[in-house]
Amino acid sequence: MQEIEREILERAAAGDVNAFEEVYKAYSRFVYNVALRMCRNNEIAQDVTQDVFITVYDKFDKFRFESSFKTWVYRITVNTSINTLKKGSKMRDKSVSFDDQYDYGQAADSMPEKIQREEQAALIDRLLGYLNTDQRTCMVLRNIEGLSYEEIAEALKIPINTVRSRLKRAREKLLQIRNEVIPNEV
Amino acid sequence: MKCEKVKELVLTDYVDGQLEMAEKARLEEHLKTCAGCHEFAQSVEKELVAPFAGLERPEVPPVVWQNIRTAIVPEEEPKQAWTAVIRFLEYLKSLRPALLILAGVVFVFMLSTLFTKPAGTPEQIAQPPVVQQQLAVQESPSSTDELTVETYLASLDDDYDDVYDLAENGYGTAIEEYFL
Ligand SMILES: [Zn+2]
Repeated sequence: MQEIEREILERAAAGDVNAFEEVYKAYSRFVYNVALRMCRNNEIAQDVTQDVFITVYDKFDKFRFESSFKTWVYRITVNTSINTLKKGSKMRDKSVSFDDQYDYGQAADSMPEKIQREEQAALIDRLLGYLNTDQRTCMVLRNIEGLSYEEIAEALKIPINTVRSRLKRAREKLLQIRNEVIPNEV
Repeated sequence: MKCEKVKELVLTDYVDGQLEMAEKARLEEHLKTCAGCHEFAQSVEKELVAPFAGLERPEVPPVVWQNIRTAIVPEEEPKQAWTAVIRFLEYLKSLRPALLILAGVVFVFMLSTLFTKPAGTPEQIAQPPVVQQQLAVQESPSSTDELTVETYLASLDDDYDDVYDLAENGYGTAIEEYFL
């Protein structure tokens, strides 16, 4: 994800909607995909993305320009996703609608490729579903979004060693699941 | 490097590219000589790294930005009021045939009143025929001519404005004044 120019950030912070749209273009895909893997539902991920950017817009005056804007967005994204996850049981009914998630903009794709992608996404979502929220957050930020340990530590306000141990436990669990629970499925 | 430490690093810093060059070299040296650790590293790569790395990251549906924009731009509200006005005008446009007929009816009505109703107040309109009737009954036909001549002669002494006034007020009044 590219770093956005300070001048654009300052204009967005002053309420310039066009500048804010630039901010949105730079970060929305990250926000949406984190929310999608955390909440495992397309509609909820859209709602989370909206909430994150409305929060960013409303709290822009509280953002200190000395710190990294990127880290600030990471943190709001993770917090909003986790809060949405906590919110309730009705979401559990809505989740696991894997089929809906890959319809967008892929009508022209060849079917085998599409099925393969959907199967892969469904597998990832199933695997992430076995993890607790802390482990899942670290796995999504590291394995899917490619953040470094340091970036994850800053976003979550935890020590780097905690990031490392959460990833280690998450992966041990996933290896165990792959060996025991779903060894022959994929 | 012990196998336990190697496996821990393989699960974390090694697959995540967080190891420094020297440490990475030492670890890879171990993997070359230890079959168990080598197999473990391969399964981690296959089961935990490759599936996530190849995962598609979908684009955000455009409706999300539209919703955000609507939420953060308060001045779009009057615009919505304007679109309501424009919609109303377009609705009127759709009623154009009916409006044309209505306008036509109003126009014909106005024309008809213009041609049937003479200028002046109702009294002024009503008086001349009544007076003429009275004259016809009470006076001889010649007196009417005489009257007209008298009036004409009298008017000759007056200014043009008075003649104009006489014409304006109608002969009825002038005739009544004459007899009084
Ligand atoms: Zn070993």
